[in-house]
Amino acid sequence: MNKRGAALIISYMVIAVLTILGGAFMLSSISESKISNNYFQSNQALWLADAGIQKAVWELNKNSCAGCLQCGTATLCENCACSNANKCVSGTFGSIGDYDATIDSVNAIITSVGSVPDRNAVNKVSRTVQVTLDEVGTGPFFDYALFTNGSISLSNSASIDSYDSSIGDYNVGGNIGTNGDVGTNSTGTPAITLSNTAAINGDVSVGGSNPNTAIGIYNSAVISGTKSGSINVPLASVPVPTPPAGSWAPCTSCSLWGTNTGDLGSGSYSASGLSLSNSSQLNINGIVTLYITGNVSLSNSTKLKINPGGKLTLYVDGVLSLSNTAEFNNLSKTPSNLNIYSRKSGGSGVTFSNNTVMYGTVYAPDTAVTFSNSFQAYGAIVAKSTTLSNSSKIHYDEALGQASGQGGGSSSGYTISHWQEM
Amino acid sequence: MKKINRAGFTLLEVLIVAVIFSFIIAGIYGVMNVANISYPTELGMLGLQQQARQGMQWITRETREASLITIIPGTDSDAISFDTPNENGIQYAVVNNQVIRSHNGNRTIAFNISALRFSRTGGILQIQINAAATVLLKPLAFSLTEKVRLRNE
Repeated sequence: MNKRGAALIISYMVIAVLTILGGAFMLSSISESKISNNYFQSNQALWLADAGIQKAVWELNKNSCAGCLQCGTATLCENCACSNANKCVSGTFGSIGDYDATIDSVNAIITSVGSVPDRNAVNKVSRTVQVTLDEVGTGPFFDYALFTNGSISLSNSASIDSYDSSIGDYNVGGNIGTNGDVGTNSTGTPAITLSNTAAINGDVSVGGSNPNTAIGIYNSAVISGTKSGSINVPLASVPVPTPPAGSWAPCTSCSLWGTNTGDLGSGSYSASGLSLSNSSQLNINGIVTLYITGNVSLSNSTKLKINPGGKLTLYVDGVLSLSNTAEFNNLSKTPSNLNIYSRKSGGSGVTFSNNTVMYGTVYAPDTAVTFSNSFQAYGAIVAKSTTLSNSSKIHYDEALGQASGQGGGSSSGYTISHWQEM
Repeated sequence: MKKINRAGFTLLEVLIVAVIFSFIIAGIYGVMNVANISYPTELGMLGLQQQARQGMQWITRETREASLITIIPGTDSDAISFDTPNENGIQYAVVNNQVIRSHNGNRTIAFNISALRFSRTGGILQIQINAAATVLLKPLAFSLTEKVRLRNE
């Protein structure tokens, strides 16, 4: 009988070698997987922290305490009053993670910590973002491309869509969106009429409870987003402006004709009217507030030019009208650098009836705004009622709504001036 | 007379075994050869990916909070200089196929970088990193592109 069997020992040895080899591979793969998981979680934590910042800015601008929650175990939120120096906002995203943002409204600083998988976990991954805020006095914030108290009518290929001016130019590199939201407080049926291939690339909200009867869609007109009812956003009338510079200086260049050119540097100016005719041109070369107690009329091929670095806030008591090829030429292409407030009550206070382009916002809660002849507005409009016809377009600038918690109109608010990862 | 069994293998049997064996060896050699080539290649590729990611992570993290950005175009690679809230005059450039971060002295961020490109549209900075190396006379390349929203510009 052959008793010299070595097969068992040999097979044990082979198995041992293979086990060691496999174990080594597994260890290396586990550590690689830990590294990649860590990287992944650290990215998630950053975006959670950034989300906390956005939410905190929104809460701050909304100026309500409704969203002011208990922040982890911190006691900052107790007695949450809007005037408190410290408030905080927190949120949880299911199993992904959460954020805690502390608002120091005295120093205008928000600090937000994003934690993955949650703030109490032993092996959590956290990242912290801190922003400094700028208080914006009476800058208009717009959540809608177009918002009115009364009726809205779009016809003849008029369209509304959106882009984001903080990214770049409209429709360059995919900078075009479907956030061209339209809203009205009107409870009429219809409150909004779309006809002849008019298009709203965004959501539509109406004052009435049944959006289907309040929105009339005819002749292949389309609404890309959702329809909802029962909204009511009060639109405050524009008060008599106070001059930021302390007093109003007379505007000596507010009436130009021929080929005359006028210039306005930084300051507050007032005049009984603004009239540009023939091919005259008014240059805005700084931060200018202009209060016109009468009418604003730009005709023929005149230009109101806002040079880069300039910003115009225009208050109009009377009628504002652009005709022929007259234009607001906002060279920075940033809509927030041209803010038009109409104080006119009733009638057609703002009329754009020509084939030009404007980068700016219009806030005219008590008068009608009319667009015709392929006028294109990059920005946002608030009006009593609005008519868009003949391929007129509104390209809503999403950057206008980012600091806003309100439906539209002018209110004080905060924007981020300084972003930093801690 | 007792017969001793001297039966061995015939020549033919030995030859057949030799032929079969050589086929098996050839097969094993083929497999080993492929493994020998692919192991360093894959390892090299992994290294390139890690270098590119590491460089990208540094640059994105700092440019996200950067201000006063200047892109300095070059033939193979662009350089970028900017300020962050804590430090002024940070520069990233490619020197001798390495990404160098200059601020109070130089620091090597990534190796085997063949090109670094920046382009800016409004508030968006696009960063492209190309990593390249030669392993076993075979050129390897890996490219990574990322966009950063400039929050302080």
